[in-house]
Amino acid sequence: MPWNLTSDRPIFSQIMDIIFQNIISGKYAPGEKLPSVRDLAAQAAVNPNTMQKALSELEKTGVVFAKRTSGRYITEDTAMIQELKSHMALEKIQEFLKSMENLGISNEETAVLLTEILEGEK
Amino acid sequence: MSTLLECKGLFKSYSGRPALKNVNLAIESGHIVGLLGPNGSGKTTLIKLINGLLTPTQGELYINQNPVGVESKKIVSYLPDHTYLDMNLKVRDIISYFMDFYEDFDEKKAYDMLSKLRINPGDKLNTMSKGTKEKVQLILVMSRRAKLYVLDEPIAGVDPAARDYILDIILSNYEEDATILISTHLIADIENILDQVIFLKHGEISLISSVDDIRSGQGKSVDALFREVFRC
Amino acid sequence: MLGKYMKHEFKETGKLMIPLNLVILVFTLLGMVMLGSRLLSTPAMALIGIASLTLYILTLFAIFIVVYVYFTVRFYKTMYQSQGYLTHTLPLSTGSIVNTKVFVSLFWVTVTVVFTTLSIIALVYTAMGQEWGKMAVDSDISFLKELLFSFLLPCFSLTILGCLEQLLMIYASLAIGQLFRQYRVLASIGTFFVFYIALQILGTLTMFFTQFFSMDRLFHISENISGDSFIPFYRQLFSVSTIEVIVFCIVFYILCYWLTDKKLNLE
Repeated sequence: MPWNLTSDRPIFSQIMDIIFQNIISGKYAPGEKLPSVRDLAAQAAVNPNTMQKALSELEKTGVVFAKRTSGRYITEDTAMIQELKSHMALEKIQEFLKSMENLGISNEETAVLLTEILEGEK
Repeated sequence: MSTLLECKGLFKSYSGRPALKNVNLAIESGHIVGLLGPNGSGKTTLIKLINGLLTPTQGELYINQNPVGVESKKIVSYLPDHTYLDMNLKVRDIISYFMDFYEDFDEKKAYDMLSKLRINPGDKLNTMSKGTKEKVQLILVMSRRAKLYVLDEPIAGVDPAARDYILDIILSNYEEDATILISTHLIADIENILDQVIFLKHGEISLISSVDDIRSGQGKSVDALFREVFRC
Repeated sequence: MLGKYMKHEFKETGKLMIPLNLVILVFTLLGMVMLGSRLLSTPAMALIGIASLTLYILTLFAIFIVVYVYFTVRFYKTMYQSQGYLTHTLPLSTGSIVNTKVFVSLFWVTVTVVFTTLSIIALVYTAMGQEWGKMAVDSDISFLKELLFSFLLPCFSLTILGCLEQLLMIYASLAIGQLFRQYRVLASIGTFFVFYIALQILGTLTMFFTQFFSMDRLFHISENISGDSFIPFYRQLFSVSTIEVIVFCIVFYILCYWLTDKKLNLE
């Protein structure tokens, strides 16, 4: 199943997000070996050069590291993954607040609404 | 990176009517290049010139520094936009035919792909559905360890599930460092696998760009840009 | 690579050519049985004999038509239609492809000519074997030798050359036809007839001039018909015709080769 990519952003940054998500959600375990660029590209149905670029960018963040001969691995540093998780959560929340703002709902009103909904679910 | 495909001032006209006008191109190894344009824009003409099925009216064409000929045909694997095999033959016969002529043909790969797609090598082509025939042709073309794959409309006329399959076959089987030139007018379906695009308009090149440049530079997808450039 | 291509061509064409020649063989054997058994001596059976003979001759004609039509269609389909996409993207030179096609088709035409000739000889021999035997004994060996080398062999080689000329003429016509955007088959047929008429005219002219220059010998022959003067005249006619056929073969070959190499047009 090809990965779900949108048309407005460069593909490599979307690939990075998907891999981040897979790491945070535990789909890729800490220390796990990533499939080869080629296999990942085929899985995602994207250009291998693009996949290569996304992985190099991931390496720069330190979430993924390369062993010289045997390929790329997910970091074993769980603190870093945790940090990534909160970072992405923050990003998502900011995105959400932004869209609420576009609807003319202030942050305070959003907070109230959220509390109501969450309590209702209980 | 060396230049794999080079066109210099290429012209082609059919009995006076121009089909390609002054095409200049240089494509390097290791890319997947989309040759994009509406029907009748000259995509197939350019592809046939690359494969020596037509001869240019004017201009030069080199593949890996060689003119079109025996040497270029050894390293180019070509998928035409229609069926081109002898329909009376069995898949197995065609595989042995390809093995005899193309030194880069990987027999094991071909049979692996066939069994993955549940195609019986003992079946004759004329007993197969159109879609299956197309898959067999693609398998033959992708089983070669070629330097340049030229695929003319590989996904035209197939359903979305088959399309994913075809893209998967292409991506998992092409030789590393090889270049794939794919012509299509269905851009949205394949734009994720491209890293370069060539827009052909009325036989002329109107744009050569990397996909990243289009997306980050213009902030839109190749498909959106295409619709803009070729708006009627 | 050339060898492999030839192997595949023989394999493919053999699928039709071997059965066709087997048909000739079977007909010949049946005919020999009928003629040898004296079954045909009663008037009623003679009628069947005539019918069988007619069928035999028609079959031979049909076989030659099938052979030529088959190689014409095959050349067109594998060179200038969709199968040409494969033919012309094989790592083979145009020369290898054209030469193989010409060689393989000429081979099968020759086989068919030989089978047909042997079939006719076998049937005639069965029908009047004894008379022939006597003739051979009565004749002088050197005359038979002369007949074989000066008449029969040249006749055979000229026939084969003629077949080659026809094949090349067909292939050249198809190579010209593929240049057109539309009505390619029609253009090929038109070209073929133009070639055919041109060949007839040139042939007649050559015949006329050959005879003109050997007029005195012609007179000589009519006065004194004997093996000695008869054969030299035919020898001259043969050599002139042979040269002519060879020239046409070369012209058609070059046309076909050049158009396929430089003007291939698989639209």
